[in-house]
Amino acid sequence: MIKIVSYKICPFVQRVTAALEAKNIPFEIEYISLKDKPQWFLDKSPNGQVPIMVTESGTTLFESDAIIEYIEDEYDALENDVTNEQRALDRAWSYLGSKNYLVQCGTMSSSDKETFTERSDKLITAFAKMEKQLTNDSTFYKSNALSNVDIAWLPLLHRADIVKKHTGYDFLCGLPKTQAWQETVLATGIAEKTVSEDFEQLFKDFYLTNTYLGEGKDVQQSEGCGTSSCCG
Amino acid sequence: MIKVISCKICPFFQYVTAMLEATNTPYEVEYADFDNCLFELSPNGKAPILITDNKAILFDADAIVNYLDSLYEGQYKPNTKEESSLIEAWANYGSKNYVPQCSTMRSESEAEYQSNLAIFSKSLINVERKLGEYTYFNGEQLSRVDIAWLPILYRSHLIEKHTKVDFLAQYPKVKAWQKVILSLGIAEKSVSSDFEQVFTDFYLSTSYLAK
Repeated sequence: MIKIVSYKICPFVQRVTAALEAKNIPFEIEYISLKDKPQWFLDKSPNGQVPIMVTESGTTLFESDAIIEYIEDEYDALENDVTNEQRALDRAWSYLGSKNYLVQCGTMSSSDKETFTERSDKLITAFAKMEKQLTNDSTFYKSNALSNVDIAWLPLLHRADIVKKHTGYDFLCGLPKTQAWQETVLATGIAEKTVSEDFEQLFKDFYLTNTYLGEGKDVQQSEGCGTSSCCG
Repeated sequence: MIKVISCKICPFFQYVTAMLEATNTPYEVEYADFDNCLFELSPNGKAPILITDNKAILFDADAIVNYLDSLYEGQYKPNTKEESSLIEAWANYGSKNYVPQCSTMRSESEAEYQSNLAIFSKSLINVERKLGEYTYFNGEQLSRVDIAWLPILYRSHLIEKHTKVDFLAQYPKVKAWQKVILSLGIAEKSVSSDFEQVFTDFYLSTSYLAK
C-alpha cells in the first residue's frame, strides 16, 4: 500500500492525501515531528521535507507537485482528453495555489497587525486572481466535477474556513465566487477526511494562539480586499 | 512562433529559454519591466509568460517547462512513472532555489548574506549527494533537471568570475556538473546579449558581495 510520511498540519501533505482520497486510492500515513525528524526519514527524504510518498514498488517520491503528477499518471486521471496547453494552464493555476500555502501559513502565524496586513495582502491577491478566473457557470473550478486545480486549492480554502469559524475573519471577503467555490469544495467532505482527527485542535494551538488572529482583537478586513494590483 | 515575455534578469525566464534552446525550438523574446503593465497578461502577475502558436497564454515557469518537455523530443526520457516524478521533483527543487540564490546575491550586510547563503547552500548539499554517477543529472543525456539548475550554475559562475567567491567550492560534484552544463553554450544563448552587464549592475553594485 502507498505510504505517506507527513506532519499533521502540513498543507502540502493535505494536497497529496486529497488527490488520493478523490480517487479512492487506499494509503497509510505516518506522522513525524518536524522539530525532531527521525533518522530513517532523513535517510529517505532527499530534501529533508514532508511529504514523501513511498510507492507500492517501494520508490520514495518527494516534492508534492511531483507526487501529484505521479498520482495523476499512475492511477486513473481525474479528467481525460485535456490538451497540452490546458494541462499547462491547469498546472499553473494549481501551482498558484500551492505556492501560497506558505504565504497563508505566514499570514496566520503573524504576531502583529503590520505583519498580518502585509502578508494577508499577498494571499488575498492570489484569491482575487482566482475570483476573476471563476465563473458562475460551474460549481467547481472548471466544470461541475472536481479537478486537480480544486485539489491544489483545497488546503487554502479549508484553512480559510477554519480561521473564519474561530475568529470571524474571512480571507475571502468581497470575493463571492471564491466563497461559493470554497463551499462546493468543502462540501465534498475531502477536507476533513485528509487530516488527522485532532487537526482542528492542533491548528488552533498552532495558528490561533499567541498570534494576531488569535488575540480576538478586531482584525480588520484588508482594505485591498477584492482588488489586485496589475504588476508582479 | 512561440513568444516569451519577461524581464532580463529573471532566472525563471532563463529556465524557460534554456529549455527552448535545448530542444532547438524557435522562439522570440519580448523584454518588459516589472512595472510595465504587460504583466496584466500574466494571471499570477509574474514573469515569464509564454504565448503558444495557438495564442494561449501560459504562465508559471514550472508549468511552462513541463509543457515544453511534453511537446519536444531530444531530452532524456524517463523509463518509469516514478522516475518521471523524481525528475519533476529535482527540477522543481532547482527552480525553488532561484529566489534563495537571488537573496544571497542581493544581501547588503554580512549577516544577511550568511543567513541567505545557509538556506541556499542546503540545496547544494542535497544535490551534491545525488550527483556523480553520470555526466548529466539523470544519465548521458540532458534532462529537465539539468535545465532547471542551469540558471543557478550559470549565476554562480558569473559571481565567481566577478568576485572570486565560489558558491560551489565545497561541492566538487556540483562543480563538475557546472562545467559540463556551461560547456553546452546554452547558458549564454538563453539570455540577452547584455545580460552580464545587467547582472553585475543588479547584483554587484551595492551588495555585500560587491564589497
